[in-house]
Amino acid sequence: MRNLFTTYRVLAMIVGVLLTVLVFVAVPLKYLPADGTSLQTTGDNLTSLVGVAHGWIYMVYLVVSFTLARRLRWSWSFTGLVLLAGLIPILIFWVEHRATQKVRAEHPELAAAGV
Amino acid sequence: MPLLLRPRYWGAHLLMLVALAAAIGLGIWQLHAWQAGRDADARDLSTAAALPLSKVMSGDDPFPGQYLGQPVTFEGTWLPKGTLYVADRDLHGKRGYWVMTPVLVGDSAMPVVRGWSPRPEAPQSSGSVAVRGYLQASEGTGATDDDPEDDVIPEMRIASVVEHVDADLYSGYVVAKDAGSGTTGLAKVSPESVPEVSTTSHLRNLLYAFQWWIFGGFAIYIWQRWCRDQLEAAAEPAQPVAG
Repeated sequence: MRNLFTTYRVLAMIVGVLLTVLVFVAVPLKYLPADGTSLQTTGDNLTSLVGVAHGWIYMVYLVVSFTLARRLRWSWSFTGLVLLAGLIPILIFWVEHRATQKVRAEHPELAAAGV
Repeated sequence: MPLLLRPRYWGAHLLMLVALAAAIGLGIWQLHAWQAGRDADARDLSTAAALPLSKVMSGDDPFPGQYLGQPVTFEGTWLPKGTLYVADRDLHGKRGYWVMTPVLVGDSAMPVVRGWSPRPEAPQSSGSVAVRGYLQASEGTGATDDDPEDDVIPEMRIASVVEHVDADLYSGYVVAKDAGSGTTGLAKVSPESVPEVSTTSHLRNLLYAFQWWIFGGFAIYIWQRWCRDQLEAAAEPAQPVAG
């Protein structure tokens, strides 16, 4: 159970970082510089790479966080927020923070070894 | 009336149906993109009848993807000062160079690969010319030019040619089958020795299609768990909600 919680936190961080890089670095680089420049090519490649990585890791994130939410009996609205947070830049960091606080308050035995 | 069919639950059912329909639809869309991409790649135009270049693209157009490999004909004037040598090109197991000299067609210059040479040198071409050859898209693997000052470039990328030619360029190039005196004395570059267009972008479409359908399946799973929760909660109405 504690492993599941740790896995959730790690996945949330990875999904969050990938999404931030995708939306604030890769996509602007793909569309802002002139076509054919090396900066634009880099942005194009980075968008594909990070986009695909985010897509597949987000799927794992969905399964892990849904399993965690059911085991900890989170409400359906909070569960929905946790699942959708993986698609909205920055929001996921805040949701992960809220989820960690929630676990610490409700299940102190799980968060004991947490950071 | 069964509990889960009551109007207060309709919203959740509708949400699941919308999510499922969206996932299936987006998956089908990606599948079509994948098929269309593969069909376009599979189309071998190299044996098709030649078209005048002006029918296929003008100097200002982006590269017309559906004409990749299309034989084209055009007339123009050699720009010998723009001659460049594209490095690392193999012919019958020997490593050498493509010889590229642009041809001014109207206001824009079309890079023409005249042939293959073991060394980065070739007889000059000048004057007017009638070219017949295969239309190709600019290469772009991102190879860097370690010496932008010399006349050797690492790949046939239009952006690298721009710096060496004093005219607007077409957004593609032509591998010459026949370019009068321009092709004599050089080994012919056949369309087979032209690098293939990468298919990874199409594979990505296929993977995205599967991904959408997995998301759709996950939506059903979440919905089913939610339904079970509602039924269980209704079966124990006396239980206070856990804090």
